Formats: sequence, structure tokens, C-alpha cells
Amino acid sequence: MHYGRTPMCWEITDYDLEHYPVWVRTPAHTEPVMTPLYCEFWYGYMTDGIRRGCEYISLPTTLGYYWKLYKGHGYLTRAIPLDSEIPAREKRYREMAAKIIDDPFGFCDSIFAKMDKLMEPYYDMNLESMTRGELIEHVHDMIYLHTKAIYLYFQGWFGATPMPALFQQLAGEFTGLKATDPLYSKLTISMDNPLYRSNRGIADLARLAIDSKIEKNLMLPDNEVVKAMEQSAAGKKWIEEMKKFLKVHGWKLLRMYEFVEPGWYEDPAILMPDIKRYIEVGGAHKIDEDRDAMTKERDELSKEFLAKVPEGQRDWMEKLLVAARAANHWSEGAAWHGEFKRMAFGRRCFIECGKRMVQDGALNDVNDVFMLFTDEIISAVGNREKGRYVQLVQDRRKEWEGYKALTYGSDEVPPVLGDPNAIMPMLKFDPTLTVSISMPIEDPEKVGAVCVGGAGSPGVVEGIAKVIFDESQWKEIQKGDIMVCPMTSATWTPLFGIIKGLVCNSGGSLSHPVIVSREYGIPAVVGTGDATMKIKTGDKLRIDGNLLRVYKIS
Amino acid sequence: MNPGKTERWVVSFQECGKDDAGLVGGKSANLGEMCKLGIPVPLGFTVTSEVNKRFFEITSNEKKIEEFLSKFPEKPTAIDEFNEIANYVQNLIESTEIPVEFQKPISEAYSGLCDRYKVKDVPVAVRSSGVAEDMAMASFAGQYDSYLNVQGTEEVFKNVLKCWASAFTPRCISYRIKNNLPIFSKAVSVAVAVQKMVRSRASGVGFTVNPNTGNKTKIVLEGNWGVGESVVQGIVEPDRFEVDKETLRVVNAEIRCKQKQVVFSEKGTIEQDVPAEKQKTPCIAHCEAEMVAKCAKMAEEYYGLPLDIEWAIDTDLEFPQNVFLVQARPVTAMATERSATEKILDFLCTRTFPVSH
Repeated sequence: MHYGRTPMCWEITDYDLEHYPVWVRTPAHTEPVMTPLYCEFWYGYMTDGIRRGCEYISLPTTLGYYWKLYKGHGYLTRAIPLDSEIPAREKRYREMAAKIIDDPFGFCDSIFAKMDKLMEPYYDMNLESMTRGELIEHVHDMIYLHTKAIYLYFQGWFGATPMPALFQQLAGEFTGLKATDPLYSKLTISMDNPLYRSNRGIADLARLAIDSKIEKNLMLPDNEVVKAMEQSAAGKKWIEEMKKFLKVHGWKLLRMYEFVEPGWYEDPAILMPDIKRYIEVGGAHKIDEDRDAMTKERDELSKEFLAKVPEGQRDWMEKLLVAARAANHWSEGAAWHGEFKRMAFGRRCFIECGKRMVQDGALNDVNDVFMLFTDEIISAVGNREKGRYVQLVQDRRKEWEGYKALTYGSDEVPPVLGDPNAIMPMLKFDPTLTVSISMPIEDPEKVGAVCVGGAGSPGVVEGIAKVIFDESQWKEIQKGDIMVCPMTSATWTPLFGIIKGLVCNSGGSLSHPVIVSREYGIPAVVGTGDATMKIKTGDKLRIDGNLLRVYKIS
Repeated sequence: MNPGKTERWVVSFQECGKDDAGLVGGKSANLGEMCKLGIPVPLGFTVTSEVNKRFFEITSNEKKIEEFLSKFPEKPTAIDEFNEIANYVQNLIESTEIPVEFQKPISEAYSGLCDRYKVKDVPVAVRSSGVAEDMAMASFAGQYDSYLNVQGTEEVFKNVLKCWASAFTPRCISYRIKNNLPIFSKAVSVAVAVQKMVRSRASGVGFTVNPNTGNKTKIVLEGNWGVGESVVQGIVEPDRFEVDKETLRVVNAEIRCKQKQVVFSEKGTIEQDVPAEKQKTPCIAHCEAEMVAKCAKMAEEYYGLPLDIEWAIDTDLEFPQNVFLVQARPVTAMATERSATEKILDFLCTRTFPVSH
């Protein structure tokens, strides 16, 4: 008896295909294919936070997005308000947006503060000592934590991101400035957020190792580094510093929007590849070294830019420019204050559940817990059910592997479900979608390029392509590579300190790869659709972030 | 005849001012003030309200009208009755000749205007100019008709009669009844302004304060080819000029593609296509825009109030004589200064995306 609940309500069905003109495949966050457990969190509990966040800000012409599942892959479409709702939404939006415009950084920081408060109870917890009942209660808490955290996340998202979208449009109209102009990215960088401070912390650990002449320990296999460091006084001091760093920045999993990959908090060995990367660049953290000069340059260029704006428009364009910068501040800050932490706390919870279930014989392996849904986990943790899920986990894992196999080059999960011509009208009424999704601006064949993007970070660079698909391949990335990947997210940020250029299948003008590339001064082309299919590791490329083109050169 | 001021039949704009509003009406008094300030307005003269009063006396129209009205209740209420009265009075006025003693000063003033502009039968606009002493009428002045492109002495006479008759439309009559005013009295006398028509090469409107933003440092002009109707009625996206009020220099010019214009024809104004080569050409030169702005600034300083203006550039004359202010009045509905935040909000709520690259 299913009470008719197959398929699950978060799967795209014929109804959805008929009811919405188009669904766009969205690798950002939802690929590689999510495990069943995180599917329940993301599609079941969290995407609703998108609509609630949008309702809170009250954007007039969009209800946010529906993000649903099709053959294991995430697709989204715009949720559309009734025409009759728009006037009241607009009235409220003017009130909400006025507060944001008047103090954009304060708006972001107020949400960060709410996120911090939400996370507060979960840092110092000993899950191993919990009774079964306490652990089950903790599972319920995790559902609440994720639901609430994502709601806060999207309050900020819908509040902050229309500002750069508008700024970009008007800067073009008033002064002819294009988003791919190097000047544009210099105007909008925000320069400081906790993620960059986290990267600096990693760079500092690399530099400390170099200065203390113990950096060769870092060349050992990741899980032997700490042991080797313990052999010397300098090494012990280094470990102390590392622990201090992890206390602040350790609540971070290797993968965004999943529980399945480990986090820094559970094993320092996971941090080592990042530290090693900064050894390669001498422990330098580019943004910090250049920060003062870049800030000064930004402020001078802003003055020049504003002088080109017609006089009557200047005062408010200046205000809008500051609000546009705040969106960058928002994007990376929200990952650190909210997203990383809730994911780390979630993983910690379910790993503990998995351990209990392995003790009981309900599962063979701790990591099998990610193949289950929370009602199954609660049932097993409470009832100590030997052998309960062994077969189920096998079947689900097989299904999951099957979906994963579709990701790179199967017609079964096309870029678009429905009418591709409906994409532009969909973007038209949602300034927040337009910053995260873009379409190639021209036909690559006509310009002799291997692929063309829809957004990017300015500059031209040549180098060797390294094509990677997920976090497990980060170790392949070396200094000076041009990274080619489906999409990046906040957990990928440390790689930006060493790569020379970036090409992504997905992304728009305010997506993670673009924001971070701009701030690190790396040329990037995103929204290419299929770069990972057309480019092979070892290809020699020229990235033109000004024209949004990627050429193969010999 | 050596008429005192109240017995002057025809007064040129240059000779009158705001103190003469009772005699020449508000509109002409205004034009007189502008002449005194040296603001270039199309010249002309006013057939004073006194002429209208005497017209009723000299002809037997006064008596005829009173007789006719005696058939009706003191305060008619039916629309049919308003229509019947209006019909009779207007026909009566329009079918009467202007008394000979007034014909001479009017025709002299008209030929003076022709000489002045060196045009035989110079086209003029004939308009009612509300008289301030009849406050009800003054506020009703907008209801009175204007007749454009009138040429020749006989036509001027005919249209002066039409202006007098326009005080007796059914609406005017109904208004008087509702306000306990007599349907007919000599107080209901109308001054008539006869003003040289500008042969507009280009024309438009302007504001000495930005009506959308409340910004007082710029004069904003909007214009198109031909007569100003196309701008007032929003038939085209007009060219837009911002002139700094201090330096009187154009600081911003937005030249639009103007596909339509309104021009005069024998049948009145008609809409027609702008020739392709002129569509993207500025309809006025910067020096002309600056001249218009200078006049608008002078008028604003005189009135001490933000004004909206109508301006025109004449085809037949050379710069700077070709620049005319044809109207100036206080801005009624004005935006208060909008804050930077509100301006951003206006864009946020009206723009669509995506962002172009």
C-alpha cells in the first residue's frame, strides 16, 4: 500500500512537463548525482526554502524556482505568480528592497548572524555518547536545521542578487560597459569574506611549514603527514596551528550539497591536498597580497566609472554599485556561515546513525546510510534491525550508479526538458536566475572556437586543459592548469588559488565560478553547455574571457 | 475717440500686463508679462472683453437673448434646455457682424501683425482669454475653443465671434446654473487673443523642474519635428535635452528615432511620417535648446514657481528670432525629489532580464 505515493512528489512527471514550458538541467549543486538521503533533504525539505525565501523578499514576478529530479538529475523551472498577486508582491518588495539598498552589507551580515545563531548548538556535541532516542531526536533536528538554514540562505539570495543583475544592465546602458570588461569585474569585487579568510588560513599553514623547513612532511601521503609532523618541535607547533584553523574553518565537507564526502573536521588528512597546493605557490595567497592595491584600484575605477554615468543618475548608480558588490559578499559568506556547517553537522549525524546500524547488522558499511531515507534510518536506529537494509542498499546503490553513469553524455538527461525557446522568457522575469544560468552567446563554429560561453571573467590565457568531473579528481589539478569541469561551488574555492583559467558547462554572471574567478583575476568562460564533452585533458587551450570563447590551439 | 484703459478695444501683447487681466484675460496678460521680460513669444493682440460687452449692447443681441431666456424657467435643469439655449445664443452671436467701429481697430492690428512678420494674411491662432473678474469663467477658460491657422481679416472677425459664442456651450450654461450665476450677463464677456501662428519646424514641451525626479538644477526639454501635439499626445518618443540651469548649456541630449510628426494641413493638423533621413537627426540645435531654456529660466524667475512650457522653432525666421515660448504655466502635479533608493526600486520593479553581455 503506497497511498499512491509513487513516483515521489519531487520527481518530474508528465504533469510537470505539461504544466511548465521548460525545465533546465542544473548541475550546480545537484551533480554529481545526489545520494537518496541527500535527495530527500534537498528535494524533499530544502527546495521549499527557495520559495519561502522568495516569498519573504517578495520578488514581484517570480515565486522562486521549482527544482525537481529527473533520472537522478536536478532540473529547475520558474514558479510563476498569478497576475493578480503581482501588485501586492511589488508593494512588499519595494519595502524589503529599500532596506537592502540602504544597507546591503548590513542586510547580508544580519542573515549571517541568524545563521550563526542557528548553528550555535551543534558545534560541541558528542554524538557517540547519545542514546538511540537522543540520536533519533538529533535526526529530526537536522531536518529542521537544513530547512531553516536554506530558508535563510534564499532570503539573502533573492534579496542580494537582483542588485548586480540590475547594475550590470544599467552600467551597459549608461556607459557601454560590458560585464566581460575587466573594468566591470574590478568594480564589483567585494574583497573580503570568510571563505577567503579560510583560504588564507590554508596558505598560512603552507607558509609556516616552508618557514619552519618542515614542508617535506607535506609531500608524504595525506594520512601520514600529522604523524611525521609530531616528530619535531616545529612540527608540533604546526599541528597546534592547524588545530586552531580547523576549530574555526573545519566544518566543511569536500562536496557542496551532499553528505557523502568527508569533511575537514573528521580527519585532518582531508585538508592536506589543499595545503600542498599552496606549498606549490610558496604559501602565497594572491587575494591577500593584492588586497590593498586592488581595493584602491577598485575605488579609483569606481570614481572614473561614475563620472561616465549621466549626472542625474550618478548618485543612485553609486548606491546600486555598492549593493551589487554586496551580492558577492553574500554569495561566499553564506556558504561559510550556513551551508558548509549545516552539511558537516548533517554528515556527522548520519555517520553516527550508520555506525549504530552497522553494530546492529542492519547495514554492512557505514557509508551505506546515504542510500537510505530518514524514516528508514529512524526505524532502524530505534529497532536494532539486523540485516534489515542490506538488500535494499544494494538495489539503491545500483540505481544510483546507473543515474551517475548518465551524467556525462547521455541523451536520457538532456540539457533541457521541454521547449528551449521558453528559457529566455523564463529568465526574463527572474533577475536571480539570470545570474546563475546563461546560454552561449554565439555559435562556436562560426568563430572557430571549441566552445562559447554565456558569462565569464575577463582576460586571455593559454594553457593545458585538465578535465575533471567531481571532487574526487581535485588531486589531479596542478598549478597553472586550465580547469574544465561541469560547475564549481564554494568547496572548490581553494583550487582558484592555483589554476590559470577555468571553463564550466554551467553558470551565469553571478555564479560561483564567475565571482571567484573575477576576484582571483583568472580568465573564465562559463555556461558553455558541453565543454567537458568537447575538451580532453591535455588539449592546449586559449581562454578568452572577454569574448567568452575557448579555442583549441596547437 | 480717446478711450481710457477700460475703453481700449484692441491691445497688443507688448502693451498689457498682469494688471490688465480683467480687460485682456489671463492668457493675454501672461503673454504681456513675458514680452516685458524679453521672452520671445509669438506676437499678437487682444480684442478686449470690453468689446464683447459693447457688442451685446450695440447689436440688439442682449435684448434678443433676454427675451429668448424668458421662455425658460429661471434655472433650467434639462439637458435639452441647455442644448436649446446654447444653440440659439451661439447661432445668434455667430450670425451677427462685428460692429463697424470695432472692425477697424481689429483689422489694423491684424495688418500690423502681417507687416511685422512680412507675410500677407499671416496665419494666426484665435483663442479665448478668460477674464479674471469672472472667476467661474476663468476656471472654465479651458473649455473655450481655440482656432488655429486663421488667415485674413474676414476670417479673424468670424473666429472672434466664435470665441464669444464659445462662452455659451451647453456645459458653460449648465455650469453657471449650478453655481447660481445668470445664464447671460455682460460679466460673461470674453477677451480674444489673436496670436501669430508659429510655423513650427520643431516644437515641444519643457519643464523647469524634472517632473519625475523633482530635480531643480536642470531644465528638461522634449521635442519633435512639426507641431507640439505629437509630443503632448505621446505619438513619438521625443528627443530629450537637459540644460543646466546655471550654465545654460546642454548637458545631456538623447536623440530618438522619431518616425511620426504632426503638421498643419488645410484640414487642420494631421499625422504623417517623418522622412527617413530626419528621423534620427536632432529636431533642434543645442543653441536653440539653450535659448528655449534661457527663456524658461527667465519666466520661472519671474513667476517664482516651477513652470511647464510649450516652445516652438519657426521655419521662416533665423536663429535667435525663430525661438518661441508659446505657453508657460505653473507645474501642477510635481514629483517631490525621489531618493536614490526609490530610483533603484523603480528600475528593479520595471526591468526585465536577462542581462546582456
